[in-house]
Amino acid sequence: MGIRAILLNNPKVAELLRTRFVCYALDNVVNPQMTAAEKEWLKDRGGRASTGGTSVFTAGGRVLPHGANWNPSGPNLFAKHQDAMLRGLNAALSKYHPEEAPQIDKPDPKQLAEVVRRPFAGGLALFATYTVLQWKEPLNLDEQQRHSLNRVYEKAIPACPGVDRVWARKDEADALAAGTFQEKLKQRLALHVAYGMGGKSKVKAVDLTLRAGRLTGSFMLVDGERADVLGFIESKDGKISRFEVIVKGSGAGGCPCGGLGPLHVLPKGKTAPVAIAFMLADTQTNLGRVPPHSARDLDRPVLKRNR
Amino acid sequence: VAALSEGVLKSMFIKKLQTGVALLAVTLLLVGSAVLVHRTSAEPPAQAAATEAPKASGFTEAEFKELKARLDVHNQPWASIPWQVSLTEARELAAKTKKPIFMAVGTGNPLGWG
Repeated sequence: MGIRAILLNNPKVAELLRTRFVCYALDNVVNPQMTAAEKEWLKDRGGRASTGGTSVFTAGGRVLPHGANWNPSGPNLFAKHQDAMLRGLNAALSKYHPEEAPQIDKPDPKQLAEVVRRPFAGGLALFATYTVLQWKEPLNLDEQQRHSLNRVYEKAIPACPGVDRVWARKDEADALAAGTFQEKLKQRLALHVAYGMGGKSKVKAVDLTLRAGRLTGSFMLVDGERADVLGFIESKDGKISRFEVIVKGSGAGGCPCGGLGPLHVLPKGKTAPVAIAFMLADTQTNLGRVPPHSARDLDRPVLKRNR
Repeated sequence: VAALSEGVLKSMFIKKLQTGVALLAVTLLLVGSAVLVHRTSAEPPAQAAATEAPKASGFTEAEFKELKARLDVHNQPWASIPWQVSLTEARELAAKTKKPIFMAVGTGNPLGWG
Protein backbone atom coordinates (compact mmCIF):
# COMPACT_ATOMS: atom_id res chain seq x y z
CA MET A 1 0.00 0.00 0.00
CA GLY A 2 2.77 2.43 0.94
CA ILE A 3 4.70 2.16 -2.30
CA ARG A 4 1.55 2.58 -4.36
CA ALA A 5 0.21 5.50 -2.36
CA ILE A 6 3.46 7.37 -1.92
CA LEU A 7 5.42 6.71 -5.09
CA LEU A 8 3.60 4.90 -7.85
CA ASN A 9 0.45 7.00 -7.75
CA ASN A 10 2.36 10.10 -8.80
CA PRO A 11 1.30 10.54 -12.47
CA LYS A 12 4.86 11.59 -13.45
CA VAL A 13 6.39 8.52 -11.79
CA ALA A 14 3.74 6.26 -13.33
CA GLU A 15 4.33 7.73 -16.80
CA LEU A 16 8.10 7.27 -16.55
CA LEU A 17 7.73 3.68 -15.37
CA ARG A 18 5.13 2.89 -18.05
CA THR A 19 7.25 4.15 -20.92
CA ARG A 20 10.89 3.58 -19.99
CA PHE A 21 10.93 0.52 -17.70
CA VAL A 22 9.69 -3.03 -17.46
CA CYS A 23 7.92 -3.06 -14.11
CA TYR A 24 7.87 -6.13 -11.92
CA ALA A 25 5.90 -6.47 -8.67
CA LEU A 26 7.00 -8.99 -6.05
CA ASP A 27 5.26 -10.19 -2.93
CA ASN A 28 8.39 -11.24 -1.13
CA VAL A 29 6.80 -12.81 1.91
CA VAL A 30 3.41 -14.40 1.41
CA ASN A 31 3.18 -15.47 -2.24
CA PRO A 32 6.54 -14.86 -3.96
CA GLN A 33 5.49 -17.06 -6.90
CA MET A 34 9.15 -17.72 -7.68
CA THR A 35 11.16 -20.90 -8.00
CA ALA A 36 14.15 -21.44 -5.75
CA ALA A 37 16.47 -20.63 -8.67
CA GLU A 38 14.68 -17.35 -9.39
CA LYS A 39 14.84 -16.44 -5.71
CA GLU A 40 18.57 -17.18 -5.63
CA TRP A 41 19.16 -15.01 -8.71
CA LEU A 42 17.21 -12.11 -7.23
CA LYS A 43 18.65 -12.11 -3.71
CA ASP A 44 21.45 -9.63 -4.43
CA ARG A 45 19.28 -7.48 -6.66
CA GLY A 46 16.72 -6.38 -4.10
CA GLY A 47 15.22 -9.77 -3.41
CA ARG A 48 16.21 -9.78 0.24
CA ALA A 49 13.72 -7.01 1.10
CA SER A 50 11.41 -8.22 3.82
CA THR A 51 9.00 -5.31 4.12
CA GLY A 52 8.96 -2.97 1.16
CA GLY A 53 11.34 -1.41 -1.29
CA THR A 54 12.29 -0.76 -4.87
CA SER A 55 15.19 -1.87 -7.03
CA VAL A 56 16.36 -1.26 -10.60
CA PHE A 57 18.44 -3.78 -12.56
CA THR A 58 19.04 -5.00 -16.08
CA ALA A 59 17.81 -8.21 -17.69
CA GLY A 60 21.29 -9.63 -17.21
CA GLY A 61 21.33 -8.70 -13.54
CA ARG A 62 23.41 -5.50 -13.29
CA VAL A 63 22.01 -3.37 -10.47
CA LEU A 64 21.47 0.30 -11.30
CA PRO A 65 21.56 2.50 -8.21
CA HIS A 66 18.53 4.78 -8.26
CA GLY A 67 18.99 6.33 -4.84
CA ALA A 68 15.31 6.50 -4.13
CA ASN A 69 14.51 3.37 -2.24
CA TRP A 70 11.30 3.65 -0.37
CA ASN A 71 12.23 4.44 3.19
CA PRO A 72 10.23 7.38 4.39
CA SER A 73 11.03 9.13 7.64
CA GLY A 74 10.57 12.68 8.81
CA PRO A 75 8.07 15.34 7.74
CA ASN A 76 6.72 16.26 4.30
CA LEU A 77 7.79 13.02 2.74
CA PHE A 78 4.88 12.69 0.40
CA ALA A 79 6.29 15.33 -1.96
CA LYS A 80 9.93 14.73 -1.12
CA HIS A 81 9.97 11.05 -1.97
CA GLN A 82 8.09 11.41 -5.22
CA ASP A 83 10.66 13.94 -6.41
CA ALA A 84 13.47 11.70 -5.18
CA MET A 85 11.97 8.79 -7.07
CA LEU A 86 11.82 10.76 -10.31
CA ARG A 87 15.43 11.88 -9.93
CA GLY A 88 16.53 8.34 -9.03
CA LEU A 89 14.74 6.72 -11.96
CA ASN A 90 16.25 9.23 -14.39
CA ALA A 91 19.69 8.61 -12.88
CA ALA A 92 19.26 4.85 -13.38
CA LEU A 93 18.19 5.41 -17.00
CA SER A 94 21.29 7.50 -17.65
CA LYS A 95 23.48 4.57 -16.54
CA TYR A 96 21.55 1.90 -18.42
CA HIS A 97 23.20 0.04 -21.29
CA PRO A 98 21.33 -3.02 -22.53
CA GLU A 99 23.30 -6.27 -22.59
CA GLU A 100 23.80 -7.94 -25.97
CA ALA A 101 22.36 -11.35 -25.10
CA PRO A 102 21.78 -11.74 -21.38
CA GLN A 103 21.61 -15.32 -20.13
CA ILE A 104 18.11 -15.96 -18.82
CA ASP A 105 17.49 -19.48 -17.56
CA LYS A 106 13.97 -20.79 -17.95
CA PRO A 107 12.50 -21.88 -14.62
CA ASP A 108 11.66 -25.54 -14.16
CA PRO A 109 7.99 -25.89 -15.25
CA LYS A 110 7.21 -28.38 -12.47
CA GLN A 111 8.60 -26.09 -9.80
CA LEU A 112 6.86 -23.12 -11.37
CA ALA A 113 3.51 -24.92 -11.35
CA GLU A 114 3.94 -25.48 -7.61
CA VAL A 115 4.53 -21.84 -6.74
CA VAL A 116 2.44 -19.86 -9.22
CA ARG A 117 -1.21 -19.34 -8.43
CA ARG A 118 -3.68 -18.30 -11.08
CA PRO A 119 -7.41 -17.56 -10.93
CA PHE A 120 -9.67 -20.55 -11.55
CA ALA A 121 -10.35 -21.34 -15.20
CA GLY A 122 -13.90 -20.17 -15.87
CA GLY A 123 -14.08 -18.64 -12.41
CA LEU A 124 -14.15 -15.06 -11.23
CA ALA A 125 -11.45 -12.68 -10.07
CA LEU A 126 -12.61 -9.58 -8.28
CA PHE A 127 -10.78 -6.53 -7.02
CA ALA A 128 -11.66 -5.72 -3.41
CA THR A 129 -10.90 -2.05 -2.78
CA TYR A 130 -11.20 -0.07 0.42
CA THR A 131 -11.35 3.62 1.17
CA VAL A 132 -12.22 6.00 3.97
CA LEU A 133 -14.85 8.46 2.79
CA GLN A 134 -14.32 11.34 5.17
CA TRP A 135 -12.91 12.03 8.56
CA LYS A 136 -15.43 12.71 11.26
CA GLU A 137 -12.80 14.75 13.06
CA PRO A 138 -9.20 15.79 12.35
CA LEU A 139 -6.68 13.00 12.79
CA ASN A 140 -4.58 13.20 15.87
CA LEU A 141 -1.39 11.72 14.51
CA ASP A 142 0.41 12.28 17.81
CA GLU A 143 -1.43 9.20 19.00
CA GLN A 144 0.26 7.14 16.31
CA GLN A 145 3.78 8.42 16.18
CA ARG A 146 5.00 4.85 16.27
CA HIS A 147 4.07 4.67 12.61
CA SER A 148 6.13 7.29 10.80
CA LEU A 149 4.29 6.32 7.65
CA ASN A 150 1.10 7.83 8.93
CA ARG A 151 2.15 11.36 8.05
CA VAL A 152 2.55 10.22 4.48
CA TYR A 153 -0.55 8.09 4.44
CA GLU A 154 -2.71 10.95 5.64
CA LYS A 155 -2.04 12.81 2.41
CA ALA A 156 -2.22 9.74 0.24
CA ILE A 157 -5.49 8.44 1.64
CA PRO A 158 -7.91 10.45 -0.48
CA ALA A 159 -6.28 9.24 -3.68
CA CYS A 160 -5.22 5.66 -3.13
CA PRO A 161 -7.60 2.90 -2.02
CA GLY A 162 -6.37 -0.28 -0.36
CA VAL A 163 -6.56 -3.24 -2.75
CA ASP A 164 -7.00 -6.98 -2.45
CA ARG A 165 -8.59 -9.74 -4.53
CA VAL A 166 -11.42 -12.26 -4.22
CA TRP A 167 -11.49 -15.41 -6.32
CA ALA A 168 -14.51 -17.59 -7.09
CA ARG A 169 -14.53 -21.07 -8.56
CA LYS A 170 -16.19 -21.91 -11.87
CA ASP A 171 -19.23 -23.49 -10.21
CA GLU A 172 -19.74 -20.35 -8.11
CA ALA A 173 -19.36 -18.11 -11.16
CA ASP A 174 -21.75 -20.26 -13.21
CA ALA A 175 -24.34 -20.23 -10.43
CA LEU A 176 -24.06 -16.46 -10.15
CA ALA A 177 -24.48 -16.07 -13.91
CA ALA A 178 -27.67 -18.13 -13.55
CA GLY A 179 -28.93 -15.79 -10.81
CA THR A 180 -27.88 -17.64 -7.64
CA PHE A 181 -25.44 -15.90 -5.33
CA GLN A 182 -24.01 -18.83 -3.40
CA GLU A 183 -23.67 -18.51 0.34
CA LYS A 184 -20.00 -19.44 0.34
CA LEU A 185 -19.18 -16.60 -2.04
CA LYS A 186 -21.24 -14.18 0.04
CA GLN A 187 -19.25 -15.26 3.10
CA ARG A 188 -16.00 -14.68 1.23
CA LEU A 189 -17.08 -11.09 0.59
CA ALA A 190 -18.24 -10.84 4.20
CA LEU A 191 -14.73 -11.45 5.51
CA HIS A 192 -13.45 -8.53 3.46
CA VAL A 193 -16.30 -6.44 4.83
CA ALA A 194 -15.41 -7.37 8.42
CA TYR A 195 -11.77 -6.60 7.73
CA GLY A 196 -12.59 -3.34 5.97
CA MET A 197 -14.82 -2.20 8.78
CA GLY A 198 -11.99 -2.41 11.29
CA GLY A 199 -10.58 -5.90 11.18
CA LYS A 200 -11.61 -6.91 14.65
CA SER A 201 -15.29 -7.39 14.06
CA LYS A 202 -17.01 -10.26 12.33
CA VAL A 203 -20.05 -10.42 10.11
CA LYS A 204 -23.00 -11.88 11.99
CA ALA A 205 -25.52 -11.98 9.17
CA VAL A 206 -25.52 -11.46 5.43
CA ASP A 207 -28.82 -10.32 3.99
CA LEU A 208 -28.49 -9.89 0.24
CA THR A 209 -31.16 -10.05 -2.43
CA LEU A 210 -30.25 -10.41 -6.09
CA ARG A 211 -33.13 -9.61 -8.37
CA ALA A 212 -32.94 -8.74 -12.06
CA GLY A 213 -29.25 -7.95 -11.83
CA ARG A 214 -29.59 -5.63 -8.86
CA LEU A 215 -28.08 -6.58 -5.51
CA THR A 216 -29.37 -4.93 -2.35
CA GLY A 217 -29.22 -5.67 1.36
CA SER A 218 -26.68 -5.46 4.14
CA PHE A 219 -23.93 -7.09 6.15
CA MET A 220 -24.63 -7.03 9.89
CA LEU A 221 -21.53 -7.08 12.08
CA VAL A 222 -21.35 -8.62 15.55
CA ASP A 223 -20.60 -5.24 17.09
CA GLY A 224 -24.01 -4.02 15.87
CA GLU A 225 -22.73 -1.98 12.92
CA ARG A 226 -24.62 -2.39 9.65
CA ALA A 227 -23.01 -2.06 6.24
CA ASP A 228 -25.37 -1.31 3.36
CA VAL A 229 -24.96 -2.87 -0.04
CA LEU A 230 -25.83 -1.75 -3.54
CA GLY A 231 -24.59 -3.60 -6.57
CA PHE A 232 -25.12 -4.71 -10.13
CA ILE A 233 -24.38 -8.22 -11.32
CA GLU A 234 -25.07 -9.08 -14.93
CA SER A 235 -24.29 -11.99 -17.19
CA LYS A 236 -24.00 -12.58 -20.91
CA ASP A 237 -23.88 -15.99 -22.60
CA GLY A 238 -23.66 -17.69 -19.20
CA LYS A 239 -20.68 -15.61 -18.04
CA ILE A 240 -20.56 -12.76 -15.57
CA SER A 241 -20.16 -9.57 -17.60
CA ARG A 242 -20.64 -7.06 -14.79
CA PHE A 243 -19.89 -7.36 -11.10
CA GLU A 244 -19.96 -4.04 -9.29
CA VAL A 245 -20.87 -4.25 -5.63
CA ILE A 246 -20.27 -1.48 -3.13
CA VAL A 247 -20.59 -1.78 0.63
CA LYS A 248 -20.82 1.29 2.81
CA GLY A 249 -20.40 1.30 6.55
CA SER A 250 -18.26 2.54 9.37
CA GLY A 251 -14.62 1.64 9.98
CA ALA A 252 -12.77 1.74 13.28
CA GLY A 253 -9.11 2.52 13.86
CA GLY A 254 -6.74 0.26 15.70
CA CYS A 255 -6.00 -2.35 13.06
CA PRO A 256 -2.25 -2.65 12.64
CA CYS A 257 -2.53 -4.10 9.14
CA GLY A 258 -0.89 -1.92 6.52
CA GLY A 259 -2.81 -3.46 3.68
CA LEU A 260 -5.88 -1.50 4.53
CA GLY A 261 -3.98 1.69 4.05
CA PRO A 262 -6.83 4.12 4.54
CA LEU A 263 -7.94 2.63 7.85
CA HIS A 264 -4.37 2.14 8.97
CA VAL A 265 -4.05 5.77 9.99
CA LEU A 266 -7.32 6.03 11.89
CA PRO A 267 -6.46 6.61 15.53
CA LYS A 268 -7.40 3.72 17.77
CA GLY A 269 -11.04 3.85 18.78
CA LYS A 270 -11.96 6.53 16.22
CA THR A 271 -14.42 5.74 13.47
CA ALA A 272 -14.97 7.02 9.96
CA PRO A 273 -17.31 6.15 7.10
CA VAL A 274 -15.77 3.48 4.91
CA ALA A 275 -16.61 2.07 1.49
CA ILE A 276 -15.54 -1.25 0.03
CA ALA A 277 -16.02 -2.21 -3.60
CA PHE A 278 -15.92 -5.57 -5.34
CA MET A 279 -15.34 -5.23 -9.07
CA LEU A 280 -14.53 -7.57 -11.90
CA ALA A 281 -10.83 -8.06 -12.69
CA ASP A 282 -9.64 -9.07 -16.15
CA THR A 283 -7.81 -12.36 -15.65
CA GLN A 284 -6.09 -11.94 -19.01
CA THR A 285 -3.97 -9.18 -17.48
CA ASN A 286 -1.23 -9.54 -14.88
CA LEU A 287 -3.04 -7.02 -12.69
CA GLY A 288 -6.08 -9.27 -12.70
CA ARG A 289 -4.04 -12.39 -11.90
CA VAL A 290 -2.56 -11.25 -8.59
CA PRO A 291 -3.80 -13.73 -5.96
CA PRO A 292 -5.76 -12.79 -2.85
CA HIS A 293 -3.53 -11.94 0.08
CA SER A 294 -3.24 -14.83 2.49
CA ALA A 295 -4.57 -12.85 5.44
CA ARG A 296 -7.87 -12.90 3.63
CA ASP A 297 -7.18 -15.95 1.50
CA LEU A 298 -10.57 -16.91 2.70
CA ASP A 299 -10.88 -20.32 1.25
CA ARG A 300 -7.39 -21.63 1.64
CA PRO A 301 -8.03 -25.30 0.80
CA VAL A 302 -9.92 -24.34 -2.35
CA LEU A 303 -7.23 -21.98 -3.50
CA LYS A 304 -4.53 -24.51 -2.78
CA ARG A 305 -6.20 -26.97 -5.11
CA ASN A 306 -5.82 -24.41 -7.87
CA ARG A 307 -2.05 -24.40 -7.66
CA VAL B 1 -94.73 -44.08 22.80
CA ALA B 2 -94.57 -44.56 19.01
CA ALA B 3 -94.36 -40.82 18.56
CA LEU B 4 -91.65 -40.65 21.18
CA SER B 5 -89.68 -43.48 19.51
CA GLU B 6 -89.99 -41.76 16.14
CA GLY B 7 -88.61 -38.51 17.67
CA VAL B 8 -85.64 -40.29 19.22
CA LEU B 9 -84.79 -42.05 15.95
CA LYS B 10 -85.02 -38.73 14.02
CA SER B 11 -82.77 -37.06 16.57
CA MET B 12 -80.22 -39.91 16.35
CA PHE B 13 -80.22 -39.70 12.54
CA ILE B 14 -79.56 -35.96 12.59
CA LYS B 15 -76.73 -36.43 15.11
CA LYS B 16 -75.12 -39.10 12.87
CA LEU B 17 -75.46 -36.79 9.87
CA GLN B 18 -73.83 -33.94 11.76
CA THR B 19 -70.90 -36.18 12.85
CA GLY B 20 -70.40 -37.37 9.26
CA VAL B 21 -70.30 -33.82 7.91
CA ALA B 22 -67.87 -32.80 10.64
CA LEU B 23 -65.57 -35.76 9.86
CA LEU B 24 -65.67 -34.95 6.15
CA ALA B 25 -64.77 -31.32 6.86
CA VAL B 26 -61.83 -32.32 9.08
CA THR B 27 -60.60 -34.79 6.43
CA LEU B 28 -60.76 -32.13 3.70
CA LEU B 29 -58.97 -29.66 5.93
CA LEU B 30 -56.15 -32.14 6.66
CA VAL B 31 -55.71 -33.11 3.00
CA GLY B 32 -55.68 -29.44 1.97
CA SER B 33 -53.05 -28.55 4.57
CA ALA B 34 -50.85 -31.47 3.50
CA VAL B 35 -50.95 -30.32 -0.13
CA LEU B 36 -50.11 -26.76 0.92
CA VAL B 37 -47.18 -27.88 3.11
CA HIS B 38 -45.83 -30.07 0.29
CA ARG B 39 -45.99 -27.19 -2.22
CA THR B 40 -44.24 -24.77 0.14
CA SER B 41 -41.39 -27.13 0.99
CA ALA B 42 -40.90 -28.11 -2.67
CA GLU B 43 -40.39 -24.49 -3.72
CA PRO B 44 -36.67 -23.83 -4.38
CA PRO B 45 -35.06 -21.41 -1.88
CA ALA B 46 -33.98 -19.09 -4.67
CA GLN B 47 -37.52 -18.89 -5.97
CA ALA B 48 -38.81 -18.26 -2.49
CA ALA B 49 -36.29 -15.47 -2.01
CA ALA B 50 -37.24 -13.94 -5.32
CA THR B 51 -40.80 -13.44 -4.11
CA GLU B 52 -39.57 -11.29 -1.24
CA ALA B 53 -39.26 -7.58 -1.76
CA PRO B 54 -35.63 -6.39 -1.96
CA LYS B 55 -34.34 -4.69 1.18
CA ALA B 56 -33.96 -0.93 1.06
CA SER B 57 -30.37 0.13 0.47
CA GLY B 58 -28.66 2.79 2.53
CA PHE B 59 -27.39 4.71 -0.47
CA THR B 60 -28.49 5.97 -3.84
CA GLU B 61 -27.39 5.11 -7.36
CA ALA B 62 -25.80 8.57 -7.68
CA GLU B 63 -23.70 7.85 -4.63
CA PHE B 64 -22.89 4.41 -6.02
CA LYS B 65 -21.58 6.02 -9.22
CA GLU B 66 -19.38 8.41 -7.29
CA LEU B 67 -17.96 5.65 -5.05
CA LYS B 68 -17.37 3.37 -8.02
CA ALA B 69 -15.15 5.97 -9.69
CA ARG B 70 -13.26 6.43 -6.46
CA LEU B 71 -12.75 2.74 -5.77
CA ASP B 72 -12.02 1.53 -9.30
CA VAL B 73 -8.33 0.54 -9.49
CA HIS B 74 -8.29 1.40 -13.19
CA ASN B 75 -8.56 5.07 -12.23
CA GLN B 76 -5.30 4.82 -10.28
CA PRO B 77 -2.05 5.95 -11.99
CA TRP B 78 -0.15 2.89 -10.64
CA ALA B 79 -2.63 0.58 -12.40
CA SER B 80 -1.87 2.12 -15.80
CA ILE B 81 1.60 0.50 -15.73
CA PRO B 82 1.82 -2.86 -17.58
CA TRP B 83 3.09 -4.84 -14.60
CA GLN B 84 4.88 -8.17 -14.76
CA VAL B 85 4.35 -10.70 -11.99
CA SER B 86 6.94 -13.26 -13.11
CA LEU B 87 10.64 -12.47 -12.67
CA THR B 88 11.73 -14.51 -15.69
CA GLU B 89 9.06 -13.00 -17.94
CA ALA B 90 10.10 -9.54 -16.76
CA ARG B 91 13.73 -10.28 -17.61
CA GLU B 92 12.81 -11.67 -21.04
CA LEU B 93 10.69 -8.62 -21.82
CA ALA B 94 13.44 -6.28 -20.62
CA ALA B 95 15.98 -8.02 -22.87
CA LYS B 96 13.62 -7.84 -25.84
CA THR B 97 12.58 -4.20 -25.38
CA LYS B 98 16.01 -3.04 -24.14
CA LYS B 99 14.64 -1.45 -20.99
CA PRO B 100 15.78 -1.73 -17.38
CA ILE B 101 13.61 -3.51 -14.81
CA PHE B 102 11.99 -1.57 -12.01
CA MET B 103 11.04 -3.88 -9.15
CA ALA B 104 8.58 -2.99 -6.40
CA VAL B 105 8.74 -5.34 -3.39
CA GLY B 106 6.23 -5.66 -0.58
CA THR B 107 5.04 -7.83 2.26
CA GLY B 108 2.12 -8.88 0.16
CA ASN B 109 1.96 -7.94 -3.50
CA PRO B 110 2.54 -4.22 -4.17
CA LEU B 111 -0.33 -4.48 -6.68
CA GLY B 112 -2.57 -5.74 -3.90
CA TRP B 113 -2.42 -5.85 -0.16
CA GLY B 114 1.31 -5.09 0.09
